[in-house]
Amino acid sequence: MGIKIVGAVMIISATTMIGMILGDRARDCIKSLESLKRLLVIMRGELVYQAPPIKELLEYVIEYSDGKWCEYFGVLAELINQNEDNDIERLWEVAGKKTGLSQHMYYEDYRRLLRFGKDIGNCDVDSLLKRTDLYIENVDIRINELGREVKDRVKLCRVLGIAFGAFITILII
Amino acid sequence: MRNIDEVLKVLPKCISSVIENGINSIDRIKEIRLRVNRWIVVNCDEREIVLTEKLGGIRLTVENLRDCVKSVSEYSIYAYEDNISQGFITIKGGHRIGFSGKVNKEAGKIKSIRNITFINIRIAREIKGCADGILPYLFDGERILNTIIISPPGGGKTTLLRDVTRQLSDGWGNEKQCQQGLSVGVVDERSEICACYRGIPQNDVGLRTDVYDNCSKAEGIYRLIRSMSPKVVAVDELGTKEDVVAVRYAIVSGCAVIATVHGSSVEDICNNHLLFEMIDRSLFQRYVLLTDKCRTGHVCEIRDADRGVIFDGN
Repeated sequence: MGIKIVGAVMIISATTMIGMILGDRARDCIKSLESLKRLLVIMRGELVYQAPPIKELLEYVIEYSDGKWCEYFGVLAELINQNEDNDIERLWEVAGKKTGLSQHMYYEDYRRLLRFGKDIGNCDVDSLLKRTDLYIENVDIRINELGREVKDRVKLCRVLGIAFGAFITILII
Repeated sequence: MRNIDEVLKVLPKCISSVIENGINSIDRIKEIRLRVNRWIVVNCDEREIVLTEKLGGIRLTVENLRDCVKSVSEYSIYAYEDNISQGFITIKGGHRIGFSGKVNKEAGKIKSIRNITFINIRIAREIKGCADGILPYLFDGERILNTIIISPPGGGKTTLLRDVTRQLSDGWGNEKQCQQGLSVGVVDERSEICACYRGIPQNDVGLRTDVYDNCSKAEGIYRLIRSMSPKVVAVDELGTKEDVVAVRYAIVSGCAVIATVHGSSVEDICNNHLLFEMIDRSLFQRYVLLTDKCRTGHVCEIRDADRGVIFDGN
């Protein structure tokens, strides 16, 4: 009986932990999008002031970024520098895979970032600024959206974690 | 690192490998021409080599050229909008990539070039000491004479101007003459003289040289004189009315001007209505004429203010 109780506690703790981790992921995503928004604003300012090539722009942005974004933009700048692939659009995706950014963001947000990457090399400054503004606006909307949902999501994840643990325990016992 | 490596680095792999495999003396390439549906043509050792199928060449497609433009512009067309509308981009090392295709106009002016289907790559060279022979003629005592260097396109004007700039800036001397270095201002509209990359000159232009990079000659000359007080102003390829007016301003402001212009004789530039007045008023005291008859950059003759020959290199 003792073993059963220990097992049940372990299962419920594990699923609760998973629930908490998933709940925190929602919070991390908001933080990550907030960092991205800040970097996009810096990027926009630099585009207006100097309009440097993408590689220089990324190197400039890296100075202001930390964590995942620093790693992602660093890898991207390096890939562009190596110039092994003439398809820049693909490089944004390759850098995402290399740095595990795709796991760090919601799929929808990640796709939106890749779409932005696709756009920026092939347009003039005016269009680029408009697209950057649009992307900043999208990120902003997404942050608000997730902000509204985050409390419910965290609660839901935790409750589901506990409930799932309890369900497995009942099944096993 | 070879001089041409910067060029090969920015070209798509399919083009750079054809050039590397097809040309033996790759270091001596002067020009590479890429045209849609045509073979790659390379000017090397003063002769033209067509890289046909026998030499492992390929007929270039629109996609090849599009990739080339993307790569040359560092995948950032927006950053090179102005350059593309002018028809060229200068890459690291000072190599000039010229474009041609269908132009896009706005209010009568060329806004951009789309469908770029013809590309000309000119390999820049830095030949230190190539101005040794002409420097003694550019002085009247300690005073530097306003000089104009004349040659047809690709004749070595920029290379000579770069070395003149370097030597005037560093100071130079021989058994007869010795000259201390002077502050030199360079307006490098096409980044060909100094080949600045992120503001740092890649070519040696001397220790007392200030550079206005990627700036129109007219604007650059005024700014240089006001802000950097140079003793000598060096500019490449005078061509517009504004350029000529700015050069005249520099001369009457007490700066010596060393400039280059396209032409094949002094008479040619006398027929240039923009320059005629300055020549007529003897504002230039030296005319250095280059020819590519025996070799690129050969000084054919030097003339004084009255256009009398003072050096004959023929």
